[in-house]
Parts: sequence; C-alpha cells; structure tokens
Amino acid sequence: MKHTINLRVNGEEVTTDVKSHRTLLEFLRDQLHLMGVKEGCGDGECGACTVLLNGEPVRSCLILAVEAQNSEILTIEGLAEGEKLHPLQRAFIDQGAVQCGFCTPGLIMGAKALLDRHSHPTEEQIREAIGGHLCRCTGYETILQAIRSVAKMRP
Amino acid sequence: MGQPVKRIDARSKVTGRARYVADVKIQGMLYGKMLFSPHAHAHIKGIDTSKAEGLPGVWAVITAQHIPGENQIGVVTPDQPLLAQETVRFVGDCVALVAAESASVAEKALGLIRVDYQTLPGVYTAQEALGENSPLVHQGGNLLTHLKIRKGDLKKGIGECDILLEETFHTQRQEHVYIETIGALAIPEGDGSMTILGSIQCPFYVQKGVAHVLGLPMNKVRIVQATTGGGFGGKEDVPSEICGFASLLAWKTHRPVQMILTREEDLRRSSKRHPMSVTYKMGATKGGKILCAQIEVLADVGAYATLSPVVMFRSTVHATGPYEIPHVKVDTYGAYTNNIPSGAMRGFGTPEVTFAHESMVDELAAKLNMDPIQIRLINGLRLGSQTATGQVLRESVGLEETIVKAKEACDWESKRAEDKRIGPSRRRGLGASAMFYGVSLGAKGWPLDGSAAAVQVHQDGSVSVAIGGTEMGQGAQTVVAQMAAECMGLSLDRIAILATDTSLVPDSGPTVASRTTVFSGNATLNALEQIKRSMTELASELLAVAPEKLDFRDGQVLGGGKKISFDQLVQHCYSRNINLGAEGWFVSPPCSFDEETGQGDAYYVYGYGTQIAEVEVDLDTGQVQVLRVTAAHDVGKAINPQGVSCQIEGGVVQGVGYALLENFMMVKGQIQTPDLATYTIPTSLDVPQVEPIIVEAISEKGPYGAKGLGEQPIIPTAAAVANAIHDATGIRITKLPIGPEALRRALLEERKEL
Amino acid sequence: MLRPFDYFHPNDMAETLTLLDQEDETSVLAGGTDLLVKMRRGSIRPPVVVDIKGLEECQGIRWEGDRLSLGSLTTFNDLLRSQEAHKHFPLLIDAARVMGCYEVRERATLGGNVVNASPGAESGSPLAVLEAQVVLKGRRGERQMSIGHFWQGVGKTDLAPGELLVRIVIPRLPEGSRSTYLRRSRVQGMDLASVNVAVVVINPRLPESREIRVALGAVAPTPIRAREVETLLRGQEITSSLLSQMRDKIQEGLAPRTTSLRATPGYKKEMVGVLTEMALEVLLKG
Repeated sequence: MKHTINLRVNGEEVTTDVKSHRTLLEFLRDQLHLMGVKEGCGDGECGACTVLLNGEPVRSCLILAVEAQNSEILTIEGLAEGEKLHPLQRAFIDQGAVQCGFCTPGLIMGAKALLDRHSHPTEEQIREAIGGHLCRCTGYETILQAIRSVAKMRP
Repeated sequence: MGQPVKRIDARSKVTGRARYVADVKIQGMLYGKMLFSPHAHAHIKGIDTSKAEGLPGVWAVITAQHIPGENQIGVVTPDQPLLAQETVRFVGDCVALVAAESASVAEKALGLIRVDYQTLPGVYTAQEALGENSPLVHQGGNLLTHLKIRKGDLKKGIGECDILLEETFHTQRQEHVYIETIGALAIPEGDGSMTILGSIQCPFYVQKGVAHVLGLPMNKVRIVQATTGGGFGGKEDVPSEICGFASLLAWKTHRPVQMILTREEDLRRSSKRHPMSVTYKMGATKGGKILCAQIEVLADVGAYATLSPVVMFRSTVHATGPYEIPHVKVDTYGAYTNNIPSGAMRGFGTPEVTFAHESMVDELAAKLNMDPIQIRLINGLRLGSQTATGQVLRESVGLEETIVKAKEACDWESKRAEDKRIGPSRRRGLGASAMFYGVSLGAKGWPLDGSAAAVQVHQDGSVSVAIGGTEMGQGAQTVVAQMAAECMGLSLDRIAILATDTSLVPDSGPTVASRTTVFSGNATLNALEQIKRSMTELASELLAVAPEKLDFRDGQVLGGGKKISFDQLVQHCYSRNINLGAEGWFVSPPCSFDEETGQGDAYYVYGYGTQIAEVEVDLDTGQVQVLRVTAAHDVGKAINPQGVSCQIEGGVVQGVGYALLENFMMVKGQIQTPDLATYTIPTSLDVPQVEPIIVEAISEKGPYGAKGLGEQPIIPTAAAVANAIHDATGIRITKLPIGPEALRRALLEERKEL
Repeated sequence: MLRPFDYFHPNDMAETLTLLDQEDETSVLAGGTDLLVKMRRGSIRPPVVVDIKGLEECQGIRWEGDRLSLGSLTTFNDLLRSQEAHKHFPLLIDAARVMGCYEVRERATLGGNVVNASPGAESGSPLAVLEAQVVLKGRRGERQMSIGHFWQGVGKTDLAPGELLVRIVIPRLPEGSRSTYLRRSRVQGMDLASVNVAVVVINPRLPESREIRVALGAVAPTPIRAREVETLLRGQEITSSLLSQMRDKIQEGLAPRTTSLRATPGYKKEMVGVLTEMALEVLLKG
C-alpha cells in the first residue's frame, strides 16, 4: 500500500510516496539518501538510528515512514549550518568522543535533544539521555565529557 | 608528536558524511542474503533451489556446487568450506546464497529453498569433544591444537614451595558488538576481476580468500576498506566469508552485489571469544617468590579452526602472566565442537588466562598474608628477566612503573585498609591485576609479519600516505598522519591517509595484535626517509649546505643559516624529474618458538599494564558495581596521548562487561542470545570512572619508541574486578561472568563469616 | 525489513472499531516499539495495521472523580511529565523512568505495555498494585475490568477481537500513602526487568491500620499480587522476623519461567523478597 506523505526534513519540505511497511530509517536512507542515519540493529536496541521527530529523539527503525506525516525531522545532516559545525559536533571532535563513528550521529542527535530540553542538565540526566545508545569503542566517558562541555559553555 | 591531537577522521563522522559500506549504492546493484543451517550438526542430503530461482526479482541462487574455485576459506587451517556442502557443523554455516533486486525479495527466496537434512549427534563443550567415542566434528579428530611450554624442573619447583595452590577457572564466550555489522559490496569488473568494498579489518586476508574461492589470481581481486565501524578482532577473518559470499553472487550475476548483515545474522555468523577452562597449580616461597606454575588450558574452538591455533599460541605464551617463574609447564588444548567458531577478539586468548593467573596470584598473596601489590612487584618482569618461554627481556619493560603508578593513583594503601562495610548490606573492595601482551604476531603468528606503506609528495607539497593497516576506530590513521607530519616537518593537515586498498600497497599482513602503530608507522617512516633523502640532496645543492646539516621543520628545510620552504623544494624536485614517491617496508624483528619445549623469543617486545578496580557489592542481591578503574599501561611512546586514553577507557569498559555481564550463550549448539536485547553490553549508566595512566617504556624498534596498545586495556580488567570482589567479601569467584546470582549463592554459603 | 501490509490512520473511534472488526489479524499501532520488533522478526504478520494515534479518546491524563484516567496512548515520557502521576503515583514514575531508554519512552505507550501482557512489563506490577481498571471498546460497546483479570497469561489478554484498550483508570490512594517500584536488570541503560516489585503502603505511620500492597513482575505468567504477604504484613509492626517470614511466604506458589536468560527462577524468587524488603525500608522510613 502506498501513501503520499508531507513532512519537513532538515528544514526542507518533502512530499513523496512511501510504502506502508517502510520504516522511517529505510525511508531516510533509501529514499532521501540521508546516510548519516545508521542502522546498527534494526531492533531499537542500539540507538544508532536516532533522529529528532518534532524535536524529540526517536528510534527511526521503530517508526513507520507513514507515521512521520506532517512532522518535522532532523537528522545529523541537518545539524551543521553549512560548514559551521554545531557545538556538539565540535565538542565530540575536541573531546575525542569519536572513534569508529558508527554510533556518533545517533548519539549527537540524542544529546542535542537533551540540551534542548535542559540547558544545564545534571550528570544523571546526561547519562540517562544516552543510556540507550550503545558505544563499544569509547567507554562513554569522552562522550559524556563532550556533552558536559557544551552545557558548560552556555550562559 | 606526543601531544593530543584531534582525529583526522572525526569531522567526517560527526557530520554523518563518513561512508560505511552500507552507505554506498551503485546503479544496478543487487542484494545478497545467505541461508543458515537450523542445525548445529547435520548431513545435507539435498538442496532444492528451483522455487527460489523462479521467484521474480531473483537473479542467482548459489550452493556449494557452483563455486568456481576451491570451496575453502579457513584462514589458518583449511577446514572451513565457504558454503557447506555435505555437512553443517554449526548454526551459522550457510548452505545457499541468493542475489535479488531487493533484500526483501532475497529473504523471500531463502524461504523457498528446501534443504533436506539428516541431523547428527553433536558435541557442545571442549571437555565433551575430547571424551572417548564423542561424535567427530571433523574427520581428523576433535583435538585441533596442543601447545606446550616446558621450562625448568617443575617437580623441583613444587618441592621447593612453601605453599602450593590449585584452582580451575572458567571463562565464557564473548561477542564483539562492533556497532556496524559486517558488510560487503562486490563489483565485478569488465576484465573479469573483482573489486570489493567492505567493513574489513584485514583486507589482505580477504583478497587471498576471495581469489581462492573464485579461482582467480590475486591480481584480479582488489579489496578496498570502507569506513569501518569497529572491529575488536571480529572483522579479522569473518569478512573474508561475507566478501566471499557477495563476490560469488557478483561473479554469477555480473552485477554489483551488496551484502549487509543484519545484527542477528552477524551474531550468528561471526566468531566469538573462546570459552576456556584453565587449571592452575602455582606455588611460592614464604617470602612470596613464585617458583612454579603448572597450567592446563582447554578451549572450545567451535566448529572451525579460524584463528584458534594462533589464539592458543598467545594463551600459551601469556599463561604465566607478567612474572618471572623458574619452573613452568603449560599445556594448551583447543577442541572442535558444534558451537559457533571461537576466533579473534581483543586480547586474543590473553584475558582468559589473565583472569586465572591474576586470581591465583591474589590467592597466593592472601594465603601468605602479603599485599597483592607486593607479590606482583616481587615477581614482576623487569629488564633482564626471563619469561616462561625463556626469552630474556632486553628493552622496554614498564611493568613495575605501571604497578607503582596505578597503586599511587588509586590511593591503594589507605583504601585497602578502610572498613569494607559501608552499610548493613554493602561492601567495598579494591583489587589489582597485571598483564603483559606480546606486540604483533610473534613466532607462531600467521602468515606475514611485515607491513608496507606507499607515500607520495604531490606537486603542491601535500602528502598522501597509503598504508596496509586499517582504521576501524582505534585511531591508526591519525597516529600515522602524526608520524608522517613530524617526519616531514609539516602540519597535520598536509597529510592525507588513503583508504586501505590492496592495489596501493603490498600485502601488509593483518591489522591485529596491536601492531599497526609500529608496523604501518615504521613502514611509512621508511618510505618518507627515502623521499627526504632525495629532497635533502637537492636542498643541499640549492642552499649550498651539507646534507647532514639540513632539517625538515615547520614547513621548511633549513640548516647552516639558510632555508627553503618545503613547497618550493618540492617544485624544484618536480622540475628536475626527481621521484617523490616511495614505498616503505618494515618487518618484525626475529622471533622463535620451539614446538617441544615452548622456548624462544615468542614476541619481539611486550606491552605491560596494571589495573586496579574498586567495586561495591550488594550482599542482598549479589550485584556488583564497578566504581572506578585505575588503568596504567606501558605503550612505549604515546604518539597521540588522547587516542591512548580513549583506547584505555573503551577497553576497560569492554573488560567490565566481560567481568560481570556479557555471555554469548549456546545450548546444544543453538544460540540463546540472538540479538542485542538478549546479549547486552554496558551502557552509559553502568560504566565506572576510568582513570587512564600512560607509562612510556620506550621501545627502540618502534617508531619514535612506540609499542602497541589496542588489546592491552581489556586484558586485566576481569581479574581486577574479581580480586576487588574478593577484597570486599572474601569470596573467590572462579567463573566469568560474575553475575549477581552466582555471587549471591556464594555469599549465602559463606554468610556467617561476613 | 517488514512484510507489506495495509496501513490506516483513522481519526475517529467508530471508523477505528469498524477497521478492527473487519480483519482477524489486524494489529493496532500505538508507539510501535514492540509491534515493529515483532513484525520485523516475523512473529506476527498482520495484513492490516491500524494506527490509533489520531484517537482523542485514547489520549490525555485527567481525573474522573476519584480515579486518574490515563489514555492508552499516554507515553512513558508523558507519564514522566505528568504532575498528577508524580504527586499521586510515584511508583509509576519509578517504573517509567527505567522503562527502555529515553527514545523508547518517547514512543512507547502505557496501553501498548498493558496489551503486550509481558510478565515483567515495567508498568505491570505498578498497575496491579494500584488496582487499575482497563476500559475496552468494541463495536458492541464499552466494558471495564480490573487489570488483574485482563491479563490472562504471557502475551494473552481478555481483549476480544475487534476490541481496543481505550483508557486505564487508577483509583486515588488514601492521603499520605506511599509507593515505590524496584527492579533488577542486567544493565541500567536499556534492558527488560529480570524481576520487579511494586509496593504501596497505606497509612504508613499508623502500624495498626496500615495496609501494605505488593505486586510482583516476571515471576508468573502475568504480574501478580502477593496477597498472602499482604495479609501477613497488614497492621503489623515490621520486625526482622516478620520480614524473614515475608521472604519465605512471598516465594510460595511462584513459578517463574525457566527459559529466561535474565535470571534463573530461583534467583527471581529470592529477589522478590529482597526487593520487597528494600521497598518497605524506603517507604516506612521517617
């Protein structure tokens, strides 16, 4: 079954046909070619496919594309302003929070939503916000440090 | 050099632009899928693929009989068909492949393939496998390998001991859980050759493996590494299988075929850390000098050898731990079973034995009423020490410094003396563990312990470096770029490290065993020195300064009060037809190992480390929380200290998972943890505070004095945690992982004493 | 990769119920965090999926007299944002906080969690101990029943074909009541509970009229009340010997699944007593 959906992705209006059984993850990667959205498990367990849906982080593998009708999606590709990196992207580089990089886009999106909710999150809030994001390289400390450093820079 | 630098690949990764193999789509590409055996051990009586072939959208269905070359992919031992032909030996064996217009059609086609199996009795533990009349996994018998060390006179050693302890330890199967699953894109070229892009740790293995199964000469197979999302050993040999699958389908269809494993497929097919049972008999004098060790290691290698013979070698050499023990007898056995193959995983046979020997050393200390740090200092390897293989250590032994630094950083003495009781049912404890790890492949490594680099300086003065080692996330590219920049006196942004490609550099062996910094680094320096010689010669002529007075620094070549910019000098070179390209090569210093006695210089140099874990135990639930791990590691010169710290933190957390949590469970050859909901790894809410300490015992053979690091940090963690639990509760746990149930059971048994 | 199906997104209840009535194997899509996993694994293959997120009747948290009524579409993050839940049912907050992870809580709904009928579901023992009722709607009308009767086994409920869980209602607890939820899991970040308990204490400061309610998760085919333990504890001074009796009694009749990877039956049975004791310690303090 095909549906026509309208949504905004990274600030751009999108109107397109999508099959009902396509997940948002498949739609973003295969139809919109947003390859920064990663699939690590397809099961909602790893967090690599996290994108923002109306400002809140969601697992794009656990959402149908048709469910995103009339929504606003932000992926890692929409985070920087041109070549000017978002402070979180900068901080992930500076703090050494990037190793293999496969969990990175999802983590940065989860962290962005956290900082949008709480401009000065507590340590517990930071850990909880990324509690569902698996990273096997870093042991998380540099990632936590990157998020802390961005929060700290805020007025 | 030696300063923390930002990773050169970080920007592409934080912007989502880095291209992993699943991100590359080619016009006309098909999707490949594989059909797994449902049985752990069975005869294949027949396969009917006709229905699958008839499904619209299906372009090829392949079984073993279609393989044009030899149906063999075993990397060390030729025991593993790429596609099962007569027998399936574990549930990850594949019997057929499908290429179709979409992954969903391919999956549908798999459902239409009928395979007639006759199930066979299987063996599911190493002990069972070596029993009499056990079913055979392979015709030659279930014993794959037996390695030995015979040093000194064990009987005499035992006789001289004041105390002799014996214990058996058990370790579990661990999964790598790199976040990117294995994937490949095979592109058939017009000339009959095959190009493969993949998530790969060891492209040269893949090249050889694919050429073999396709029946092509190696010059017709080109492997290019895509950005790779973690490896930890798991992408060492298994990608040869997946790339083999994809390239068979591409060969058959003459179309590009992409094969990206789902997480479930990846968990089912990829190798794991060996489950092992290790029995130690260790004795010491009253003064704490360890005199003897008798060690028997029994490992479940699973259905195929994969890298087990080499893993077992490492277990053997490292079985005594980083201690000088005069009388040693080690026997290491690896047995085939109908489980998923055990293969390479970070630490490569060392974390398993380290859990055992470090528990033993702590037990000796406890029985002798000695501080655990003290006994390690008494017996620890130092310059001039002789290892269990009789190797005399002549350089770069930083063990003692790691012990002392870790001890000081964690406030060992006062913390050990503190009251363990921090509540009616909570106890704290502190435990130490030390390790050593032979850098690179060593005497029984396979197959090639040399590495190449191909370098060119372009007309604009920018530098390209192609290395044979791969970047999987560990930071190899950044470290090599740093070394190249330092060598040429250029800033880091003038250096580009190319994607690893078998057509750019000669076979450089595998990217394993913490060897890339040393091997790709030295090869790169070797190439750059050749270019520098040519450039220096011309600069000397242009500046009228003797070549030995010239120095490459800050983008200039200078000396004798004169200078020329690097870029200008490059232009002069080009205008005079001077070659600014070169290939570098580095081979391992010689190693040796006598099969009968296990004596020899097993590895050319070793890294050392000490970790101290602080834990809190909940006596009611048996739950252990690791609060803090102080991790001091001797890595030789730390080229990028930030990268070293990151590797230590990540390795420790994997080690905590190994200690307390992770267990890839199989029952009768069937997987009990088929996905990431059932196989869990530590999350940000579980991890301890990790304090990395870098110790730099310079190695003369390493580039700028570097040794290796990648594997080290996971090795001692489990034992440090177990020793801390012992300190907190008095309970000695001998089986990993130390789940709350096992600990609670042990606590209940000994409750009175608490 | 999901198999094809027809997708509908009705905005009104009548249309929804008609759709649900048409096909036997229609799946209701709310948050999708369990449904899509099951569909991807092929453990269910619905030809029709009806997305109910447009139904107003299934939304919102409001008081209806003395009962807090939660729409079945209430997400776990909605719960965490609800002042009413924080104030009156802190155990629901305890449970919501550890359910899945932030992204899952953003989508997963209370209704989905209840209809899934997983023995260890995070909302299971809290709703059981709160004596929640479910409101079900079908083409033949509406009915209410206690949640304890609604759950019938692992993955089994009393939901009739064509029927929809619309709301969950929870009676207000007497003033001054206290409640908490505790669980064991292998990791903190994202894991199902291996065992959990929900405890409510009514009149915590007056031992003679004190009532203690206990519900347990992941130790039986459905979340269950520990009635005999409740009787044992009612109106009693909590002493260590009473607690030790409680730990024995609470295990009686429990039959946790032997196939669980997360913990063995023996450990689960011991842990419900340990967790209940921990909960009482917290709730009766001060």
